[in-house]
Amino acid sequence: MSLYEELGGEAAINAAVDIFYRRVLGDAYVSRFFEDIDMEKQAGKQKAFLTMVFGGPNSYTGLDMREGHKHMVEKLGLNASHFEHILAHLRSTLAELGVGNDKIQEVINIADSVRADVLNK
Amino acid sequence: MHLEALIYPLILFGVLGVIVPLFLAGAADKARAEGSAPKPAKQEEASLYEQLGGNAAVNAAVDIFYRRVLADAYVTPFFEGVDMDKQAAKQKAFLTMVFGGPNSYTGLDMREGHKHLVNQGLDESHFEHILAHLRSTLAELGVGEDKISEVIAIADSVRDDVLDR
Repeated sequence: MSLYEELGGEAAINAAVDIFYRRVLGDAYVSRFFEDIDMEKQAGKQKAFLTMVFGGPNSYTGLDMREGHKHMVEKLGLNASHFEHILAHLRSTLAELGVGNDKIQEVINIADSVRADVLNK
Repeated sequence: MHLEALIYPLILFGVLGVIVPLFLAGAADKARAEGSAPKPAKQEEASLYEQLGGNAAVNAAVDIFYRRVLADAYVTPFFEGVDMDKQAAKQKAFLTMVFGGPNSYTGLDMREGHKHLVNQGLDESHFEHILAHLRSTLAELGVGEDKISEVIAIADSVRDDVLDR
């Protein structure tokens, strides 16, 4: 059974997107990066991102992630501390959904693998 | 005639030679006087604690910080069975310390106070959540990212004590 299936597949992703999104937008330290963003497109991207970190079927490319965040790194000061907030919101979301710490750690390891792309390192 | 034509310019130069330096020196003195004396001595820069708003800011921060921490299912297990009145006072002491305010923080207290939590699995990731809630709290209060970094650097200095390393 894949991690994605263990976590509950697409239904779990949908539940996670809602909680994750609410948390991120309720965090004044990172919400500025979401200003002027098309929220419908963004919800689709969040779902794709969470499917990827859940180990589900995805078409993630590091290049997309790099290109998509480059302007934030260059113009808005996106750095490692903001990335830590996103990881924290992901942990909190999974904990709220009752996912155990071991599984959370697996998910975080996958999420953390995009750090260099997101921060354009 | 010829003599006068020669002497007057010499007198003129002589007079100017005395007056101009005196005038310039006077102007310089005046400039110095204006530059320093009328203005009060430069004030010492306010402490980080004062810049952030002192005790009132700490109280505002405690409320937001506490609400955030207790709404985070990843860290709430560590607050189960904790006396919340005592805990609120500790949060205030902690925030006063990270704001650079008057505090009686000791690393030993921090180490002893968290040791049992480390045995329950408290680790780096939970510490990162607390730092994140602190950043979010300060951002919500309108504190700029430079000041937030200063506060976080102080908070981060207790990491080894909290994680009993």
